[in-house]
Amino acid sequence: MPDEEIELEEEVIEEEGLKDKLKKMREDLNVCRKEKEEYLAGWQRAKADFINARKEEERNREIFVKFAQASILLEFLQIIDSLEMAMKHDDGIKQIYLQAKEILKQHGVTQIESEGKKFDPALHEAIEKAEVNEEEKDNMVVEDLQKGWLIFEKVLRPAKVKVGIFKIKS
Amino acid sequence: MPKILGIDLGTTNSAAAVIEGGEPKILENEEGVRTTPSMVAISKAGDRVTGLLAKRQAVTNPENTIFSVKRLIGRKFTDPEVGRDKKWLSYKIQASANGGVEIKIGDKWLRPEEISAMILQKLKRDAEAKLGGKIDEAVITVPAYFDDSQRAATKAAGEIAGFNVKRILPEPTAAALAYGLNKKKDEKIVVYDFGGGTFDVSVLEVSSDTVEVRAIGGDTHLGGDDLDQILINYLVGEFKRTDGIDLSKDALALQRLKEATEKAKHELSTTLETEINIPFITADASGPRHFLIKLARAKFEDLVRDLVTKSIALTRETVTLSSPKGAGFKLSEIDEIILVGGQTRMPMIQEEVKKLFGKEPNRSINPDEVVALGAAVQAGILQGDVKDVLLLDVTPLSLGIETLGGVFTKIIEKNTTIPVSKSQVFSTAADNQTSVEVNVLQGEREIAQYNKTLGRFVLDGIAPAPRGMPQVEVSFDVDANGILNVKARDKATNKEQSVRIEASTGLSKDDIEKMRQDAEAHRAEDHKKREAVEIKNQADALIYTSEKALRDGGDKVPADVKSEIENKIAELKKIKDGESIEEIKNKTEELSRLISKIGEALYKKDAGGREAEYEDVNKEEKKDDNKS
Repeated sequence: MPDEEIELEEEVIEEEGLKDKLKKMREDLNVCRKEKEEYLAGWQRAKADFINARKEEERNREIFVKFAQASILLEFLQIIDSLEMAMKHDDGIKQIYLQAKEILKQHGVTQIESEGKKFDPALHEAIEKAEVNEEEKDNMVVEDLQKGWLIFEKVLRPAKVKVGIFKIKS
Repeated sequence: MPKILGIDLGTTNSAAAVIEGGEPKILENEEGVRTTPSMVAISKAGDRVTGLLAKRQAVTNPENTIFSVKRLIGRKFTDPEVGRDKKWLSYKIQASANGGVEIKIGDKWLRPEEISAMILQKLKRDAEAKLGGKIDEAVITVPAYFDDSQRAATKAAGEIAGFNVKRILPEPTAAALAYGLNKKKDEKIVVYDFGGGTFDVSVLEVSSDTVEVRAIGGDTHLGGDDLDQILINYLVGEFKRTDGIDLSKDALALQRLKEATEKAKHELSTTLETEINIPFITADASGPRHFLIKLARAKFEDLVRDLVTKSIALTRETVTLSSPKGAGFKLSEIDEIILVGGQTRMPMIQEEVKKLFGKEPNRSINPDEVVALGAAVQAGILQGDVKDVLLLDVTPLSLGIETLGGVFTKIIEKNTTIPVSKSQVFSTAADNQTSVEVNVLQGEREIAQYNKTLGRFVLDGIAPAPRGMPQVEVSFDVDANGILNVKARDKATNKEQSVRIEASTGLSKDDIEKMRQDAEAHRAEDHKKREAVEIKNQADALIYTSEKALRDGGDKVPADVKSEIENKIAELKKIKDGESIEEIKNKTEELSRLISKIGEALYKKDAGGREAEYEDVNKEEKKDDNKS
């Protein structure tokens, strides 16, 4: 309190009183210092805990992702089994293809229908362009070179496509 | 508090990061990817697409797909660099009214900063979506060689995108910030940045909290893409040689080969050989053709050796030549080397850099992300997030104690942020053991004796009890200054003993690196030893419980079972201190199967009258299971 101090200064204060005041202030300062140390240590620990928890979370997520794939891969081994059979008998490729597609479908992975659709970079990756004679084929997918896939509503892999370019004859 | 975005605006790819909880973190874009292609396009319908989508449509729309705009920003049209780039860019450029560059996109002529702004806008939009709030401020990085005009143009790009640009930061400085090297005193740092399309080397000097760029060098047309191209050309050549078909004429085949090549290049960073397998790559009159080539790391290294050597020579020049061509330092004067750019994952580059400086380069932070992370650190400093007192250290090596059989049991793993406290409960290894010795260790080896002992003490006065019964809690506490306190407390008597170790983090970088490498080199052998110890410990414990079970319930066990068990115990005892681990393991398993007969015998004896009671006991147990 500044007011108080001024008053005190104006008065003739005994040496005793000043000493007491100094002592009290020293004590207060020590309390403050101690508190500061405590709060800082607490703050540092809280922050370190947060960082360590985040590291732990990242590690766990990595492990989770690594092994979450296992169930799908296990199902995919069926395809390998079938392919091994097919190699022995030189047959059944179409059926294996359907089997694989079914596994993918069960995991929300579906094929993107591209041919004849308007080129959309959100779904397609243009690999080649082809000149077309019909104007309505301009900027349309004229050939699906490698199928694209969705996982649920997100693009897992865009389709690689050939896109029609209509050249106006001059 | 709104965040300041840290942005690495790259020639081929860009990335954005923010400070979260005091640590920089890369933000994924809308497509869920951590980097965004620095590309912009106007589609035929007049829509603007940026990033990955712009890249996907580039083939159909080359004249309206703008990439590498960073090569043009802030330059005069008459700049020889612009003249050189003009030849290979697929879009049109011309001189603007004030002598700068203008780019044709759609039906407009735009300045490079307007194109860069579109990339920045996408980064801003995606970051806002990710963080759920508006972001108006940014720190943007530029190459160290950018002059005032290029920096001003980059800043203008940020402003057009709607940012208040708080700082334009040199990329190598950002990398140094990401590694926290700005806190070091009077250090000389070299940043070796092998990006997708450019190679930059910078020499920095840190003094009293400022980072100064002392020299810059590099090659604006040398990058990871060149290495890819060499590899693709080689593979196309190989296929032509073996199958007589030129794949370079087939767009899809080339695209598939490109992807497979990139994957192979990544794999060769960790393995010595990889297989590039692309079934049905093409077809000719005789039917489908498959692409299958084994590629050794050594072969890849041979193919690109010239480029790597060139980068090393440029690095040497930039460090050693006198000003203005270089920093005029001795190679041995360099304190730290930082690797930036995805291509620096290549072991050969790491080796060559190490050979040049005779030091291990810093590469713990993802080299594709380190610049953006550093920009975020700068942003954090500006927004006052990163206070000095809250710049926390990590434990460079694991801390723990020696346990039964000389095994090192980690209590605090390496790279844990400090201050931290962790505890674990241990027990005694022998009956009526009244004291335990706590040997505090630091290191990564699984066997205690190969690690460094920081201190040891004895906790005595443990009440006599069968082995495994007493509970001794050992707690480790590392404070913010790296001072380690280890305390052991007997939970029954509350007696405790502790040791304080000051120098738990006071190892030099070289020592730490040496210890880590040592652990890596001995990993397999240590693991085997540890497993052996564990098997022996298991055998030991099983002998103990078997003998105890026979003592306690032996009279109820049929004599033949009893003697069989006794024989097995004797057999196991004979071999348990030997070296044939497999045998100990087998005998332990046999004994383990056998002693369940004791239980069987006991239950049979008690069966009948007390059946109801068992059921209750089981129910009780189940309840307990649910709790735990």
